Amino acid sequence: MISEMKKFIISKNELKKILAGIVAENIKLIAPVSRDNAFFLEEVSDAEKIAWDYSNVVKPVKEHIFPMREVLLDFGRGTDPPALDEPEARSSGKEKNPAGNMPPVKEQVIFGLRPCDARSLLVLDKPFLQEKYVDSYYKERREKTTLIAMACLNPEKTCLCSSFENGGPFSSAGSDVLCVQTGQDEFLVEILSEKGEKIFKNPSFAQPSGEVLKKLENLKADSEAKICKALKVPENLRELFEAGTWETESLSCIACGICRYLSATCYCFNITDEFEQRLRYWIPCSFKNYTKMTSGEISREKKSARFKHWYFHKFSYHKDNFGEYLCVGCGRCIKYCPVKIDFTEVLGKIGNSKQEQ
Amino acid sequence: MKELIDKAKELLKEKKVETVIGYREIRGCVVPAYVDSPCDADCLIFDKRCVYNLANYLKWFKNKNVALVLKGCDAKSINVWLQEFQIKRENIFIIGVECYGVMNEKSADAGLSDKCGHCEAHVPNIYDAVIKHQGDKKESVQGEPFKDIQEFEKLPHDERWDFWKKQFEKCIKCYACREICPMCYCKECIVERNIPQWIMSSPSVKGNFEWNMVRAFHLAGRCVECGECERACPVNIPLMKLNKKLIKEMKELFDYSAGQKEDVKSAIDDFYPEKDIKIDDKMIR
Amino acid sequence: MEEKKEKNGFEPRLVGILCRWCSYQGADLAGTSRLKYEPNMTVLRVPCSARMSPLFLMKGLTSDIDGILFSGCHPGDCHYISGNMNARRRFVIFKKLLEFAGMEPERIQMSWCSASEDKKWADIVDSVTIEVKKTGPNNKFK
Repeated sequence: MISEMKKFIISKNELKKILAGIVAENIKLIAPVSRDNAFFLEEVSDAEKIAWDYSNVVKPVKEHIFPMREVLLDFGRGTDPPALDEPEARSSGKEKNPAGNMPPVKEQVIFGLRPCDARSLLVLDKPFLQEKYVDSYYKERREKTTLIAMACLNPEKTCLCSSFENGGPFSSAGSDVLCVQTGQDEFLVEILSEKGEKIFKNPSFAQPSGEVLKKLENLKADSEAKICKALKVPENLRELFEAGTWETESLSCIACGICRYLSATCYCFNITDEFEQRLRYWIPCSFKNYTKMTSGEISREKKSARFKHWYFHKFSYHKDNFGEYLCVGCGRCIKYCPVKIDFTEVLGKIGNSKQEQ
Repeated sequence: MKELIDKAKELLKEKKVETVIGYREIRGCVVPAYVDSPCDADCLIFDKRCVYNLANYLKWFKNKNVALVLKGCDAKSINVWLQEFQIKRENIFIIGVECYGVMNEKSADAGLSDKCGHCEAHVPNIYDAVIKHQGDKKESVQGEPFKDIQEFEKLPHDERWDFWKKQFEKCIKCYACREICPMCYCKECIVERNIPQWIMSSPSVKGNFEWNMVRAFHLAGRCVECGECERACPVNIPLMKLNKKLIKEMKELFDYSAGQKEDVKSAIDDFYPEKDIKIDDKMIR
Repeated sequence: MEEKKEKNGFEPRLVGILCRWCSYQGADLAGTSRLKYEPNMTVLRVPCSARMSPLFLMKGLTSDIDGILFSGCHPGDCHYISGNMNARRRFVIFKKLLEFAGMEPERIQMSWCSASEDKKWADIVDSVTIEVKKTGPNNKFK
């Protein structure tokens, strides 16, 4: 239970000043910006460039903790190719620092992410920070990140965050600070952790009045009423693995990578060597060569097999391994699918189908 | 619409085709439909929202008998497929629809798509049956078709580079542009080759630049300007700018447009020494 | 040439992709004739200029090479009859695309050079080097 002391009212200008203060302390500030009719979470150095009027950003917040392309090891000689008139530079080859090859990870504050994205990091913590196997690259970035979430006043018609236990457009799960825009120039800020306290150091902000708290309840109810989709996973999903419905439902899928990349919780990656670096990058399980083995054999050759695998990973295998669905209900897979496949509809049709013998 | 449904039913009853691929409506939006039996054909529709290029699905129906509902721009893809010997003409039945414009899904005011402004193929140039247009026929806006490309070319080269650098920083290498393009049908794409690795598979400005340039080049003389790649891109990269530039160059240098006829050689495959010699003056030492 | 090189001057790195029947022999003849020309070009030999591929250009330009030159037989003289014709079309299209994307046109060049044109080869390399020097180093992907 957060005490009333940790909630306060702040104006937009004061909020911008605090964000500018973060930049001034040489901490990376990542906030939503508008680019070509879409919104992205990007590093900003000027608090004026932040966008305030958006439903959700295109790329999920996982890209700042688990980047799309991350260098794991650098084994280069550390020099640019020597100039033509300096042949002796070719053989000397200055050595780069071999140990701890990575440039140090900077502290970062992510502002303006939605509650569904904040919860997605709680979901991703389970596979990446297991007791036995800790992903050190993920761990370092996760520990150095502070999350300031902005509650959702206008969920889209593709959103379904309320279907999850700790979900909802005003959920505080996973964030260090939760902001709610209660008026034109009024934000209600709730501090949820020590990291959040460090950002909002000034104790002299006004306490919320009873009127504001009432407004908050109304805004919350209005927002939750706007969510019209629900997730319903068939109980016997595992037994429906061979159902013929998968074949028909996957016909219009084009096997691109959009639903996998833009999902807030998908995390499959590939490791490769490029020039003098070993790096990892996201790869969707919808590609044929995702399961290509050294022998040349591809275990999920058919499109319906690759289509099906995504559903099973998210709603069956991950539940068995980690106790929850690999989904937070952000709805990006529905919004950005080029052929408008809706996974809740697919799950419904599968649930109604019978197991093929 | 009734004409379309009747035609589909007729084809399926007489077993001329196994599947009819068309459009249907679900939850207020239009999606591709696969109709296997005559009783399901009642769902087929055609209206302004039918943006998809259904010729793309031929990639998964190569040796089967299918019927496709195609607009003028989409039917050009069939001509290119036939030029490149990817399908047999007798395996497909083209239900052409007369179309006067489809909407732009990404614009706020639901105006017509950019490609419709210069459409010259209201009736497809290859078809087995044609469904006439219901409603008013608005003629396309006449004007300079490559105006925006010419405007862009007037900018100095570093401004052009800055523009594209910003665009390629956004690319996430989802390859939706490749999967939704009917002309990108390679079983193994050049990006998936890693012995040797010509195009970096990870998303970085270098890798994205390489990928988009090579894809645009592989579509030279083959792109039919259906605009699907730009529609599918989740981060709104103006891919049609690159494709239209090459369409303009093919027209000006070699007087060639993709998809007009099924039995001519593609311009990039062909050469005319007497005409091409004029390139040497400007571009070759 | 050596005495004119200043430590601070920019020396471009160039790659030449030469067809083995005409251009490579022409370059070889330039060497046998002891002609002096700018030494910035590294030569790769291919069977025919038709081997010209956008992938070579892409890989070169994104690997910080400052300029690439393709060279083949004169039209009509190709050892494989029409290879250089295909190369010409492909080259022109890709060059226009790269220029559109903001690459300087001087970085991508093509020439016809036959096996007996040693002086012409030396002139080509000299003029390409001077043009690329004026354009400056290729820093786009650093």
